[in-house]
Amino acid sequence: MSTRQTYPLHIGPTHPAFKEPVQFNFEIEGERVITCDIEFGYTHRAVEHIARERNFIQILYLLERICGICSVSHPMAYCLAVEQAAEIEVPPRAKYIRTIIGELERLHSHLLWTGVAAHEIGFDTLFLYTWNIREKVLDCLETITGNRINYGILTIGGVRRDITPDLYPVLQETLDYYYDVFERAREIILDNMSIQLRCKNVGILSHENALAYCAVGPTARASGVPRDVRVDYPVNAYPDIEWLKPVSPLDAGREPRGDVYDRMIVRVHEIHQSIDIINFCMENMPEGAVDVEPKATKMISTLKKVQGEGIGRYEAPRGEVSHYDILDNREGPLLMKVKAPTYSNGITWMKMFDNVEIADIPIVIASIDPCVACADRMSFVDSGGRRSIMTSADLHRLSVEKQRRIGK
Amino acid sequence: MALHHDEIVNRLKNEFGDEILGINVIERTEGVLRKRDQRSIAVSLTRKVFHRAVSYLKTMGTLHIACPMASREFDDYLELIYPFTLFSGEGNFSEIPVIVKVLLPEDDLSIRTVTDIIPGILFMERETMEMLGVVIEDIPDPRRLFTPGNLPDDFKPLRENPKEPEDDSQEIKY
Repeated sequence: MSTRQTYPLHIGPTHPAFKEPVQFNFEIEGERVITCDIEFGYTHRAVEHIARERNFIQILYLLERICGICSVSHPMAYCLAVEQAAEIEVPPRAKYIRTIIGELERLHSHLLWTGVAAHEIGFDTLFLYTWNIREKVLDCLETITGNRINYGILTIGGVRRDITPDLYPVLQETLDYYYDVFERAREIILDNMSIQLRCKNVGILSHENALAYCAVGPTARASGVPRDVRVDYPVNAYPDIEWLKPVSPLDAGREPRGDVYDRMIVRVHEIHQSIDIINFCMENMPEGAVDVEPKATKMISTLKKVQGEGIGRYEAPRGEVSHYDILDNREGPLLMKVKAPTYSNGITWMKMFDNVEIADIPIVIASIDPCVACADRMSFVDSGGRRSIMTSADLHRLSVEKQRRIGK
Repeated sequence: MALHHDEIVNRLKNEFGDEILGINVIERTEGVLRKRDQRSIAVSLTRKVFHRAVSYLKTMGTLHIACPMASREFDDYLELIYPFTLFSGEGNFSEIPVIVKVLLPEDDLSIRTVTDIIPGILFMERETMEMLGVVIEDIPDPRRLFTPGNLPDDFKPLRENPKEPEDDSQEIKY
């Protein structure tokens, strides 16, 4: 008779360690996970069903809201699918602007993830550090597009706003800032003993399992699968970048093992890669128009004449986003099918949890980078209607003043 | 080593002959400074050879499922669309989407699972079952993925005209 005793541990659907509702059902022996089962559906919003009632342009803004952090990735995949079905050729300048916005998004997404991962292992100093340096890229996105997230810049056949020459210094200043801080940030994140002790040999996804379970993005690359849509099936400006290759733990001199630390290496090195890609796009930015048809109603009536199917694939910060669209003489697609990276990577959790300790559950869950909400900024309106924005220096001053008041 | 798209088409035609109902290659040029052609293959085949065809595709190179199964409804049929890709991760423009389409008669909406060939397709097959009402035969885990447990079994949310539940005494809670 076996003496082995296990007990169930249910975490979720809402839990302080999660940024999104999802239910994990573990079978535990002592402190170790034996099996893991996952239940989804707690935030299912029927986006594919809602899209049937909307026209081609309205869908863009619906898709931006699938995920706040990947808010350019879903509209990008959708535009690529519709453009393929309708045989629309995007102007060269729009392709470069799309690439710049996409890489700025990757930059802030990876910085955000690094902070979340640090928070999950109790390293809140690093969490605050990475979120602080992330502000610069959000400011840059706000200057270029008008919003920190949900940029509203993509449209079918191009982009809605140009990056005009007077915005180049803003972009250049952002790139210079990240070139300056990168080495210090890399050292703090990857060379730290606490991080290495908590992340090495934890939550391993083997190369074989990454392939079999169709892992995507940094999760796949950390397991030694060099899968990156930007290289395998590139669009926008990516075909022009000859030196572009999927980031691997080998870039940091480490043989890929597929643990949490490898996923961290991949994301940190991709921050530098994104800065290089934006730099390339700025140096080689083509002249010309940024869209094929600025009027939405004309674009809708053009697409209404189309019968066809298209698949749009884009490498979002978390991995491959895919959209499959069927056009059939309607004002919107007959059918739209969406795949987010977490859909692919979620199934790999079940393999990663093999023999993981209970204390490591939060960091293993966070390691595939499931979505998180974006931080708000504080702003005040005084009685005269004047609006003022609190800077970090203002907040620091107020904090010091409050501490002095409390201390009296 | 990635195969040329014509080679993939020829191999499929030779292997499955009349069981292939249609096959075409879609071409598109990408890039600004460095123009490169991209291809995807759309193949329509019978349900009888579907499982063997997916298995055969896997012998050609890395097989990946890019997107959950799409569908299109006709009078007596439902077309199930599997967006696979070949040579994912081999770099340098080598990946080729292979869109496999299968027609299922409305009075027998069933197809064999391919989780034995691609384990990563499990969630997508579970979603296809609950959203479209297609029975995936031999699926290792037939549970629902997204919809709540108290949704009536005969209500399939992503059908174009979903039938109202026969048992309307059952309240749908959200």
